[in-house]
Amino acid sequence: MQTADPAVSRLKFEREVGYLREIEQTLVSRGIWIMSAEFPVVKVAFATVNLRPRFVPFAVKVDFTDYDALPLAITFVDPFDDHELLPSEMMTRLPRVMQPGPAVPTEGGGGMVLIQQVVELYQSYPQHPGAPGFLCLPGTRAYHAHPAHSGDPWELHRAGGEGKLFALLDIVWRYGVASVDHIQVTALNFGLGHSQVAA
Amino acid sequence: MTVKLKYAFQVDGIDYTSEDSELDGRQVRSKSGHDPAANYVLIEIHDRYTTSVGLEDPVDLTKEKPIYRSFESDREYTFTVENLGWIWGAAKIAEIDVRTIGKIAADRDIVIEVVGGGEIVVPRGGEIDLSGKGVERIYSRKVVGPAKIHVTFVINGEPTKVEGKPNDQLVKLLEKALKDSENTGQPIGSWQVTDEPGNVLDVTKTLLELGIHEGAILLASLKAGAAG
Repeated sequence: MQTADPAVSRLKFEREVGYLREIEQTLVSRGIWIMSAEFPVVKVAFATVNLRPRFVPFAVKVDFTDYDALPLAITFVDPFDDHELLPSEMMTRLPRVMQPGPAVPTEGGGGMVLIQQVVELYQSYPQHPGAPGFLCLPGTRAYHAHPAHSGDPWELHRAGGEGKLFALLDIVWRYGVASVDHIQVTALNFGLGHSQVAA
Repeated sequence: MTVKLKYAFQVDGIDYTSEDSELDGRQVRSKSGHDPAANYVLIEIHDRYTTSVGLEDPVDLTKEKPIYRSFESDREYTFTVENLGWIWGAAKIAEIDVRTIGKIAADRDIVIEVVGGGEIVVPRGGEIDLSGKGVERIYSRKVVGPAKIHVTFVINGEPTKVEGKPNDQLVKLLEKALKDSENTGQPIGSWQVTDEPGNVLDVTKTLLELGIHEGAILLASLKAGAAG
């Protein structure tokens, strides 16, 4: 149920989708396709332009209901039949290489080592494999609704632009498909391989 | 113990060594895997000009390490760059080769003077066709471009037009675009600028250095915040 003034959400939907339409050719050249846009949902597919043959591993549905009293709600869906993708169906976890922290001593104390952490922006609950995963990022509804992030409310991010449609799609593109440049095939699995994308 | 000196030369970017201080053009070709030697033109790269090394020409390795480029060809093309004589072994030469070997600065255009009048500015990353009758003289001149370059920044999806000079740093235009579009809630370091295909641009470089042209579209987006 929409609790914010629907006219406000609709205006913001039309404005932000309109901006994307203005640069649609650029977006398509990057592998970002607006498949449909009817308030309150815009559906955008992502293709791997740096990999041949090209894949369309997922689309996202971005729901503007209650935006921007609440952040945008993003779900990962199959581009063709719209079903929400399960973690087992996601061919990428949107890996993001974080800046290494300060050097720490090695175990033997003989030297220092930099530890580089890779954060997966697509997260799910391993104990609930039947539950779809979500984009864990400030500016998304899933992030701010999560109890672990109660100290980082949406209101702190709303004015900064992090939760805008383009900003979120850009991050999904950058970590989800732009860096995909090879296919990983194992006996049990088939996935997309990323070159490393720094934070 | 006697240690034999080794003398170095470079062909096509690869270093080779020789125990002989003097070779000939044929031996340089053979030692660098260009056999049969007679099938290859060998060009020596000097300071701002090039020469051809014949099969029997002596090559002295006791001085500065000679740098060569090889071409599978039996033809040589002669022309001048900045009034210095050049010889090349292919019908085309890359703009970047002329710029690098000729030590032509980034703020200068490379121009071809065509026989019969007229001139052509060689595009960055382009090639010069040496096979026609027209190309004889190549020179450079200060970039004669628009005094100002108009760029569209797409900031978080919203297009904002700004203008700058070719020697302005990109960050200067980004600051102006952020201000004009009232995107001032984030420090400038939180923003990332990409060109249309998605390559990340170094905002400390100038428009000229980045090859940003009139009417370019650049996308500015926020770097991902803390996640997890």
